[in-house]
Amino acid sequence: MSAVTLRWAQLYNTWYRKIDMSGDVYFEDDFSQRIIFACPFAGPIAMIKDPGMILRVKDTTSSFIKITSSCGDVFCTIEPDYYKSIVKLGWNDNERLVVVLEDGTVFIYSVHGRKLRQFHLEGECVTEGVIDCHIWGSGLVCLTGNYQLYALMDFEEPYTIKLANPGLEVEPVCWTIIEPQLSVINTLEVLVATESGTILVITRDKVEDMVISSNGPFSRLSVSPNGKYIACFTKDKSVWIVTADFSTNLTTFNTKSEPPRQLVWCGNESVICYFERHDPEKNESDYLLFMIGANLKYISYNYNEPVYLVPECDGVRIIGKNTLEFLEKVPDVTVDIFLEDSKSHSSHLYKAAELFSQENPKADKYIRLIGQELPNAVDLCIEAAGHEFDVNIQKKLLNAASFGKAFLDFYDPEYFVSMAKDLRILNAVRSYRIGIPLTYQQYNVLHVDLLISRLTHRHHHQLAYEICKYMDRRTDDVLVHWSSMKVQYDQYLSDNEMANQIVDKLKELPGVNFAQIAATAHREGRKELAIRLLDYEPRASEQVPLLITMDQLRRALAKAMKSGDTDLVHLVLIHMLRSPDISPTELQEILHEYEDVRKLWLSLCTQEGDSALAYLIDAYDYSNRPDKIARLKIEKQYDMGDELNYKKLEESQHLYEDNQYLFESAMTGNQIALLVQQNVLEQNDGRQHLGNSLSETLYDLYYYNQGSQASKLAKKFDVPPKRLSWIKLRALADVGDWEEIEKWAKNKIPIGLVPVADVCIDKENFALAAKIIKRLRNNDDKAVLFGRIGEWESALHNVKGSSDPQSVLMELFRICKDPDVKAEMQALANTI
Amino acid sequence: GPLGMVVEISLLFEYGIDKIYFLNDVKPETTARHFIYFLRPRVELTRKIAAHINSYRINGQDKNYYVYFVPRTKMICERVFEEEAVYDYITKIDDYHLDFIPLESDVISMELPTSFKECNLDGDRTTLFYVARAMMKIQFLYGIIPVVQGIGSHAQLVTEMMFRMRREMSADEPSIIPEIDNLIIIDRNCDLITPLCSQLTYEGMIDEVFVIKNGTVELPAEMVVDPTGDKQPEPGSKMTTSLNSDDSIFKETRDLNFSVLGGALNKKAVMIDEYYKKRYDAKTFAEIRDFAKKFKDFQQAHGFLRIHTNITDAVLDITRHVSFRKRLEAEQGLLAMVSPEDSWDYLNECISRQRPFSLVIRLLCLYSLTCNGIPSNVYNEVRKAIIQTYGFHHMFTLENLVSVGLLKRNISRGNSYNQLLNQFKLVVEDLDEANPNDIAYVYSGYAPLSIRILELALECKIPRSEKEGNLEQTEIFAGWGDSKTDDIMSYLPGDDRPFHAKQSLKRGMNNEDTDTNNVTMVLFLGGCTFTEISAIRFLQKKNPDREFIIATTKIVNGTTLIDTLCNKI
Repeated sequence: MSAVTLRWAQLYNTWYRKIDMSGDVYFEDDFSQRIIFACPFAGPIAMIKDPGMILRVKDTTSSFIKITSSCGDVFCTIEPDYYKSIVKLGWNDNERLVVVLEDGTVFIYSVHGRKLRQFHLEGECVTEGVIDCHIWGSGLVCLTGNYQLYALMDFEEPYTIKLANPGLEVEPVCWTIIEPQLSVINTLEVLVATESGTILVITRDKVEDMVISSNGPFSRLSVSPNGKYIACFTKDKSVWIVTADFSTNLTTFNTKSEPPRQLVWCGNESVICYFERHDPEKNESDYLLFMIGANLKYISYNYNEPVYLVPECDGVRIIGKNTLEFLEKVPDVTVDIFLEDSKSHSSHLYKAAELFSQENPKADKYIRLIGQELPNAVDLCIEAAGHEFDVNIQKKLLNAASFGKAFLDFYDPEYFVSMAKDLRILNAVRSYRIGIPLTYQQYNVLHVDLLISRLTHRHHHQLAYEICKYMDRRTDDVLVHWSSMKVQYDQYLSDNEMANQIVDKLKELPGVNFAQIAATAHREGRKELAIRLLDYEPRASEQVPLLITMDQLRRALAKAMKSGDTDLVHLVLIHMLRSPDISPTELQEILHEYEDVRKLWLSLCTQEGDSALAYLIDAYDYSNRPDKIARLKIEKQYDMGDELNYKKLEESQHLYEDNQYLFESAMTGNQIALLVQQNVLEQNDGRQHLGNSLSETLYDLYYYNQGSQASKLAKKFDVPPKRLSWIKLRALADVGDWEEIEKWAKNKIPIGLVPVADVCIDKENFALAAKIIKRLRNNDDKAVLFGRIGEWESALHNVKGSSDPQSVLMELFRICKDPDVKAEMQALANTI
Repeated sequence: GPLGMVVEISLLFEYGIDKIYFLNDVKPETTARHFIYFLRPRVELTRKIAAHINSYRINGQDKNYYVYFVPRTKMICERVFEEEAVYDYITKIDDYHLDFIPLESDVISMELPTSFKECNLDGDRTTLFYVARAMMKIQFLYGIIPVVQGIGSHAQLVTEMMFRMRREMSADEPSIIPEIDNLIIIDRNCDLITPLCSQLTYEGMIDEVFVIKNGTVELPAEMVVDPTGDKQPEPGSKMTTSLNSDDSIFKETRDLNFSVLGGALNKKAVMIDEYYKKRYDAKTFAEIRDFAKKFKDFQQAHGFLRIHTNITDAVLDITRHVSFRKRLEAEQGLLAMVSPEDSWDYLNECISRQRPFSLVIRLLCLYSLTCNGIPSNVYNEVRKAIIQTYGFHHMFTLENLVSVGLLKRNISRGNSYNQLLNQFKLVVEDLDEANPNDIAYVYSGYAPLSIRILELALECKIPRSEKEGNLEQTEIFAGWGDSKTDDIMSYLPGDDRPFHAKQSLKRGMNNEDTDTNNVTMVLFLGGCTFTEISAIRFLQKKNPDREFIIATTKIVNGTTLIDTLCNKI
């Protein structure tokens, strides 16, 4: 057990340990001549030459940014022309390198040095220049030349926002930020240590002076990983620890030294000062890590080479040319198991398992000591396994857990299994080949999905793919990225071969995003490959826009049509309309070729209204449909409320001159003639006629006692006598001109007398109805109509002479409400 | 509107909605700063919003606009915003995927009234795309439907789109054992006859007389309000009443033929009456409790009964009128091919008497469909009569009718309808409307062709695919796998042919022993009528093992269908 606790050190009542991975590390560069920028979560490291060194050494070789893994594995070197104006480097959550320049330009690089994006900060970042910058996982804060603060909250949506004016006249002594997700008030806070000795807390809306009168100005500021505490290095060489709201002093520790090179938190319970001291006489340097804990206790560690401290959420990563260590507080579960003389259940279980493996019967004694707490002890051993880097100890702890499990009737294996999986992943990524020495806690905070994405972007596709499979996650992103990389880097592979290889890899995956790979191919100038790959993309909504950007409009049209998504078809058509490569005639040819598209296009243009009228006319013109143009024009005329303008109608009528439009031409001619007639009528009788139909006009004329006018008009327009009679009858009945009806009915009426009787009954003129009914010849009609006016005697009398007495009687029975008459009918029915 | 079908309006108020306005030309006068618009992706509606925004801007009012297109944004609408220079002032433009809206426990509708017109007249099949997407949503919730049958080119298009979308989205396909067995898609184009006929079921007649909209009907207030109550309505005012199966009386009468309606309502009345009488007989405590327990239901039923008696009176009044009977005779004369000449005369009389346009057009189209077109010698004459009577602009309405196949000039011998009549047994004699034994009861003798097709489709038992997993391509086969049926189907005029396809299911999802949940979804493209729904419910009663879900783009009738085709001037 001592082997485990050997490198532990106690700081007041807490244990700390260093996990040493130096065997895996080698950096080519001398850290003393480099400025280091490390990405948290065991991420990559970017380094540039220390500008001071450049001057001193007169290094004439070109300047570069070098990106390596945590272990010193070089990913790439970038040789930018803007090297001299670099203000700061940093990393975002996706392990993308962020480079901020003096003029407010921001570059985003992949770990492989590929420039992914570039944008510009705004406002005074440009006019006054950027003099310093803090970068965190999702954003950054800049200090401008006139000491204003600007923030960019999200690299994905780079809008620059200005924070409240801190009102500084000289450059701050030092400053730092509390990231929004750590802030109590959920917003970005900037802490500025001023020359005057106080600290300002600045947010977007306000500046708050913490009014600190003693100890300042502060030369170092550091925020704890949980955002709750601040460590400050004071004027009198002390480390002052205070709550983030500066309300409660926690500790003041006098180091009696110059400001440390780095002041960082190790977890949330201790602070490390890193001092580099050079003794010019002996030409020796001295590198000291000085860790301060509660109750003024401290631990110091010496190094024989310069190191750089990377604060993580649960400890500090220490990197040097030949150093890679992780310094952390020993987790409580681990302390409980391994600490000498521990009486915890978990340590009993661990011991029992050890003894059991040595076939020592004492094992049993320890198990019994644990008693009821065994399930808990098992959980704790599993948890402790997670916190170990040493695979042997992991195994021992898991063995202990599974040994304990054997004594339990029921134990949910879920935790054990998931821990075993997590450890397999952790062990894999920690290997120097991959170089991501994550702790279990960091792994949980980072989340496996982000880890997979990081591995993918580091081109560890194989491992990422396996983790996906292992953790039951979709492998799309990994494979799509792999394919995109292949397209980018395998420049000598033929389009055919490339497409085959990619399709082969991806064919097992339904719905994989081929469009993204095709987009890469297009960017790389491999158009044919892009088109081939796009053919495999199942989503038309992805295919079509890309084909449009590739100027493959006809192909895009075909795909859009096939999808049935009319909006996509519309999109292509609009691009065709604007494309300089497709002439208007060509567009018409295309429309003519695809009937469905042409119809849709016509429909869309019709919906769009005036602005698309010209397109419609073009299309009809091309397909030789003058009738459609005529209809368009007439409809337009009605739309504008100009339908009475027969001159305009005449223009449209010309379009119908072809023989196949005789009917349309005649009807339009009729309408023109009607308008002319109505105009005349209006002038004569002063009533409104224009806009009415012919029948309505005739009705009006009869209604207003202009029968002769009506006859003339009817003759002019060939109205059949039957229809005219109906119109006349309706109008006369409506106006109540029974005299005229009676007179008219004396002659032979084209529609016969039944409708006249009907109308009389409907209008309840039973007297006239009776007169007319009497004149009818058909007994069926007579019987029913008599019944309807309640003359039952006559009705029943006529039943006898009818052609179908049964049904006539039924009809009468239905109408009749008088029970006596009904009885009579019943009797009559029996006789027939 | 349909929005009311999916959310309780009071809930919106709880979430801080201030007021709900209908989208009008006039902008709402309000001090509210946030506006949420829900609209169909139509240009004229979009222009109204643009006008609102511009008008607020001129008044210097700074507001936030959120625009949601239902069910999907269209580029053409976004272009309107650009054209009117308001795009930058809109905070958010997004889709609100309101697809199928449940109208009843067995009826869902997309509420797309213009679908038939857009697909058949304009050639804009966007609504079919919406339907396919909605079907995908259904399949994601209730499992991939293993067997798809259909008839008509649009049905085939929707099927193809569904299969393509399945491939597109296959990555996210959930593992659900299918709850719906088979899907039968019927394109309205395959049966244009049915909606033209006068519906003769109770619900159908209410729709024809009063127009049912989103499951509600507007009635004269005096028909709804209790005449013995304190509050009496103003004369002439209207009241909106819900019509659905929550109404116990309506639930039992909605699908009845009108001829037996009076009797059915009477029976109900007697039953309620007897119940009220029981109050005097109740002696033991248990009896009283039993009486009290049902009291509320009966009291509610009593209220429903009053309304339905009023509606029935109004409806039956119309049926007693000569003109209704004449029209029915004319329709039946055509459907049974007994006396088309009389029907033609009646049609001309209707035109002469300037009867409502939609009635005339329904009859004209019915004539054209049953008699192989309008005889050449009177084709121009009747068109001229219509134009002279109803106005010049209806020349284009007639053009539209020709375009969608509702109207044509007779140019060939023979009449395919005669064959349809025989093959599909469209007319059933000796029908007992009180105890119907055939779907023909919904039209008092005429069996809706669409439902006859459905009956045939149901007879063809197409087995599920035996393959598992997501296949790259689901193949569509011609026919329904039964030569006799396919033979009958070949008598349908036009190019619309039946097809079927089997969708393979994911491993383990093919649980064939669930014979107990035989659910068939019938999807109508271009709308269905209330009578068709009644007929399907009748089929359901005949096959108690099978459950039907009816999906449609909209519930239509001849008038609403013709209305969408009218030249709107």
